[in-house]
Amino acid sequence: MSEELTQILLDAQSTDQEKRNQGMERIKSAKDNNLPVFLVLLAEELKSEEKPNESRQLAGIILKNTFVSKDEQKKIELANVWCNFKEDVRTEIKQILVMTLGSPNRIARHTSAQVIGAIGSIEYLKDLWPALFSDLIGYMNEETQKGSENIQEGVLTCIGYIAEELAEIEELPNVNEILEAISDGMTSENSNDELKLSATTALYNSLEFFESAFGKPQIRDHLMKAMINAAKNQNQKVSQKGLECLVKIAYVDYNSLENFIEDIYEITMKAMTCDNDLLALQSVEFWNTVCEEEEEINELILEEEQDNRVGKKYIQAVSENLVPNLCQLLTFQDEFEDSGWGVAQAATVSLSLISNLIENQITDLTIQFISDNIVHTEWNHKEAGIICLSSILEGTDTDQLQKVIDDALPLLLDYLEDDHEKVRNSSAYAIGRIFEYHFEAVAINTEVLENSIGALLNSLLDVPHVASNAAWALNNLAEANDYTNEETSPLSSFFMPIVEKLSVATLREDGEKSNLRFQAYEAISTTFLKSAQDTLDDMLLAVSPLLERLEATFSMELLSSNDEILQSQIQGSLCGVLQFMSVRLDKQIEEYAERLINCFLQVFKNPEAVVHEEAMMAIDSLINALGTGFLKYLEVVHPYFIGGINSYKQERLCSLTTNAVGDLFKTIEREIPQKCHSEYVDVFLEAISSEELENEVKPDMILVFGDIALSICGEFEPYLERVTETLEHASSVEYTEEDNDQINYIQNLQRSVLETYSGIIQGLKDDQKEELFLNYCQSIIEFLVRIHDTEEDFIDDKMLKAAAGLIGDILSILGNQVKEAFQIQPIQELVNACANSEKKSVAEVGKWALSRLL
Amino acid sequence: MSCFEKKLKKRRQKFKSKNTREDRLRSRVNLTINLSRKLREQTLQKKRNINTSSDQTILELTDEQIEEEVQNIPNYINKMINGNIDEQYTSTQRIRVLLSIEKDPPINEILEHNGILTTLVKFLDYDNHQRLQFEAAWSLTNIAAGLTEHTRMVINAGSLPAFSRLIISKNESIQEQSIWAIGNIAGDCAEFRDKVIENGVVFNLINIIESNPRIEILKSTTWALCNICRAKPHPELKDPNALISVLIGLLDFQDIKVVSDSCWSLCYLADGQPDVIEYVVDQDICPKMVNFLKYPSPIINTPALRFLGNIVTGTDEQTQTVLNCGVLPILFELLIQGNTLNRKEVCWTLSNICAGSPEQIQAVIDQKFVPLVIEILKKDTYAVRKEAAWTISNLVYMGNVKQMIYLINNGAIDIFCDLLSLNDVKILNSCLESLTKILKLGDFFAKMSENQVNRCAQKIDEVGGIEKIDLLYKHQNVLLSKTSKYILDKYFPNYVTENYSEEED
Repeated sequence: MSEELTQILLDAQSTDQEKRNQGMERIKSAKDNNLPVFLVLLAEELKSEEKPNESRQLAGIILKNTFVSKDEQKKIELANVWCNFKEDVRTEIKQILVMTLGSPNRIARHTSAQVIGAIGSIEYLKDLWPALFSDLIGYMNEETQKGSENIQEGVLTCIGYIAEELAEIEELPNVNEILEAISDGMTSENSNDELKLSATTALYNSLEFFESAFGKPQIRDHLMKAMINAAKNQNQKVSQKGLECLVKIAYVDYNSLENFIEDIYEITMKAMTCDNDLLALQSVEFWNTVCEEEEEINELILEEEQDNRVGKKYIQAVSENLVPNLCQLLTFQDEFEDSGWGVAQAATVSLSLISNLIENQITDLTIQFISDNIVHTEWNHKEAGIICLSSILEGTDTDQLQKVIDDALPLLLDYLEDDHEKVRNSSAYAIGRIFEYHFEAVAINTEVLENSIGALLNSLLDVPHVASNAAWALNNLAEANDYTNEETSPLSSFFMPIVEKLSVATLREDGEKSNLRFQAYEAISTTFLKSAQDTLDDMLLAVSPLLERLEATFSMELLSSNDEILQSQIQGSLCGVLQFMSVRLDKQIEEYAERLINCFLQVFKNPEAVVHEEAMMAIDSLINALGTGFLKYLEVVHPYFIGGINSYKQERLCSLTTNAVGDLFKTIEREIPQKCHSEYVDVFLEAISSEELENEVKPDMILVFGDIALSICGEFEPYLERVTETLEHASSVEYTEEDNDQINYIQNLQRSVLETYSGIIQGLKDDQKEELFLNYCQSIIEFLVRIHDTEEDFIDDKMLKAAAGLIGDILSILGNQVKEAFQIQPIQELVNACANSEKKSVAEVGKWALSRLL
Repeated sequence: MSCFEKKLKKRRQKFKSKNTREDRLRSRVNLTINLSRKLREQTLQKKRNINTSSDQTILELTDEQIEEEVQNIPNYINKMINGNIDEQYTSTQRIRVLLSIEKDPPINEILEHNGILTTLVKFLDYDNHQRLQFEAAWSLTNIAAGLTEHTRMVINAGSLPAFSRLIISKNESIQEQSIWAIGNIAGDCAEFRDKVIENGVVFNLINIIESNPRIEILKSTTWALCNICRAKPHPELKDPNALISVLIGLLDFQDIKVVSDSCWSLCYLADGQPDVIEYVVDQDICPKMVNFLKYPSPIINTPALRFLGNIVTGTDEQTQTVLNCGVLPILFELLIQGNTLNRKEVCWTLSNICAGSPEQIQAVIDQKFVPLVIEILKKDTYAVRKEAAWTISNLVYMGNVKQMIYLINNGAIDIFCDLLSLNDVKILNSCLESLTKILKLGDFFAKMSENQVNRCAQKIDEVGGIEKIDLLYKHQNVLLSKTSKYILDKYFPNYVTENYSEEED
């Protein structure tokens, strides 16, 4: 029987296809026949020292894969299969596996460690093997005394696997016991490299669990030393794992670096200049992590939030020596790969992180490298210089860089035609970054601006990732200044060429590569949104061709899922472009309105939900552009509005639809058919009371009632009771905890209620029905007092303005009937505070309300 | 994926990162929603019909526009002087817009042109062109709000008689603007304030208040009066009591700012002026002021406190009037809960009450102030401790034997010895005097006791007071040195003063 199983396992790995299939087939039928028995046999096979490596290993892997899946749902099912085995079966298999951990055969003990990693973590999470760790460590100690060193390596490897599987849980039991085993393995004099590697790996995988232990200086220092020794180890694998531990500890517990930063500095600086890429990479990653931590600490300090990390400004201290090393690493880039992650990429990110921390100081540290390399004859040096420049742009001031940019930009424009693709790519990227952060440095020279645009437009014809960067650079160019209120701008004369060349780029066959099409459409959108008034005539001409493109997407042949994705992307991009065109063209868009509406509605047939949001925004912009002109399309659009409001699960669509309906009432007064508004009131009331809908959307829905009331005036009467009931309910929500989301939500909610009441009374007044409002004054006064009594921090300018606005509205309209009731101290104080606001528009409302109150 | 791995993954995306689909979509959503918020705002604004006519020309100028406008100044001023009435109006308005820029308005660029100020002042008399009159008043207000030299130039151009007349203009915008101008000028310094008074402004301001004006006008009027009362030396008014009566009348008003400004004005007027104190006490406003102490905001309770503090610097009878209003329990609360400024004022007030009669001192003791003041002396901020030191030393200095014993039993000796480390000659002196008085009392009791020991001297020795007194003996202030020597010689004859080698004369 046992020989037979060995043979099957060997067959299943045979080079002979037929034999292999047979082997696989028999394994499958054995599994189906009696899984528990088969698994016990597999475990035995793994354990048998006299069996060949190949069959032992495959036995273990089959055993493990029976319970492991990448798919979360499947993983749960498989875990249940294991747990439903009888206890004696599970115990038997586990015992065999644990015994194998000490095998003299490395493959066998590692495979076994892997299987226990899978099964052990399942049992641990189900509380079937609570003593997992102490069992393993107990067994290890017992066997070690008998003189076996393999068992130590096997168990530590196994603990590493388990810790990896358990990454999601909060804490482990027996932390000290585990730590002791690991640190023993890392530091014992008897440890060989294999053992050190498995111990260091186990530590790496379980670091997060030891956070509390790191609070004890003795343990922390001991472990830090162990990691540093591992990082210094001659064996490259151990050294790399040691460095990885240091990277991780910088993230898990920044404070522990304090006593060791000098040692780590030396190790990492040495590793960056050694020949080994992997060690250099981890060294860069260490400083990247420190950068990110210090950035976060600085932000928290700015926001005056508590943090237990003590910011040490290590980066500031080491940057003078670190930056030159990083610059050198930039020249180790891969000739073809941009998407991988190597030392050059890591160093690029590092430089930009450092530049954000030390700001202008980075210029002095990099300027020599940039100027030496950017004119270098070797492509990799040239590209390194370009990338270095683009990395330091974000943190520095424009006047610091004016000269660097003056010198570099003409070169970069030349390099857009360099022979080496990578040089062209990085140049386009660097130009984009210059536009993003230092447009003023370029704008002062029209000739440079002109040359830049010309060169970038040419690059749109380059290979996709260069063209994509060029499109992005053009987007940043348009984004840099808002010229919408200007008659003309320095960019106006390039408007048509830019739009045309970008449109051509969107039609490229290879447009989906490197997101080229998306970037090109974005650049068009931004160009439309921000251009000066003298471009509007040309923009109007562009509506028709772009609209035709959208129409064409509905008849695209959809042969694969790729085609579907392509269709959605194009529809999304075009909706965005057309939305901005409506915003800019306003009434002029009217001649295309019908076709636009039809297109946008057809986009809703696309099963991809995100494009519905794009379409809804486009419709909204049409409402605003057309005003009353939209009325004739209301009948066809109305069902989509109702559908959008009811799509509770698509929160953003729901909110955008709410917004659109609000705009509808705001722009069209009184002419919306009665059956329409009554339906909107119904669906909004239902949505607000639904628990399925996220709270965040509800304040906006409440606001729409105000829009409706203002629009239909006295016709709001039939809804008054139901709507005010909802408002009263919303106004009674109270702060229960110090949670920013909740505070935000309640503030929004209260403000919405106030503004909506304002809308209602103003609307009623227009049809002389203001007396109806008298019923609600008492509860409004109570609400205002509640607002007054909340913590001062929660009452911002916007809230004061809404409150004073409502008070002013009521007193202006109902006057002496209610005046006395409002003349109470809390209301006085709210209005006073509003009148004394530093913001003019707020103070204005406050003063007006005050004049009504007295 | 663990947090750490997510972090690594996110870092990798930073390489040559560009905006993603989601980024763009989100920014477009924000844009859409913001547009519609604006629309809602406009609709309501329209319905509310808020009258902002006076502010219509507060334009948000861009930097370039400002630069351009500054270039145009000579042109505008030329038109103001030589143009027809319409040109004068529009040019003055442009100048006013420039003067209303919040950051660094180009005042100097405008004032370097001869005749600009006299022209503006001339426009103040154009009763038939009220829009121009208003623009001129606004421009002058903004210039007067600049440096003292600017204010002086506005006065020298002869604006005060015109403003004094315009503050009773029938046109409310012009009236309000002129009140602001007056307030700005008077608030600059005592010299200008006196010029304002010379022009009969106070009388007109009182008339405004008595005419029952709109709240905005009333507010700016009380503010201007407050500025007139503030500067020292005290303003010389023709009929101070008329002003005081009006201010007292305003204390019942509903607006907190009006009440606050009136309170402050009364404070300033009463400060060190026995006549005023006598008058206000006779007007029976102490109960009202004591009541204001309970107001939960420093806008009201601070000026009320300062006012009452001024009253208790008066005669014992006047102090008693305040005490009769039940002020002590309220002061006690304020001392526990008030802000730093108020705690300081309370201590100051107490120190003045403690300079009163034994009955008044007893009232302070009965209110259990002593432990609280001692607590404050131990740990409050320096400014508060200083006033508290006066309170406690006045208590000792003015108190009778029984009261002194109470103080000694409550730790007064410790606290005086503590205070000897302060660096304030006046306080040091009063502490030494208090200690002297305490030691004298100790001596008195010692003579009556069996062992003849001065317990107070013993206590001073225990808490390390002698060394401190010894140090003061070497202080360069003669009085301090003398008193210290007296104490050492008389009560600590066995103490050998330490010789400092570097000691000089």
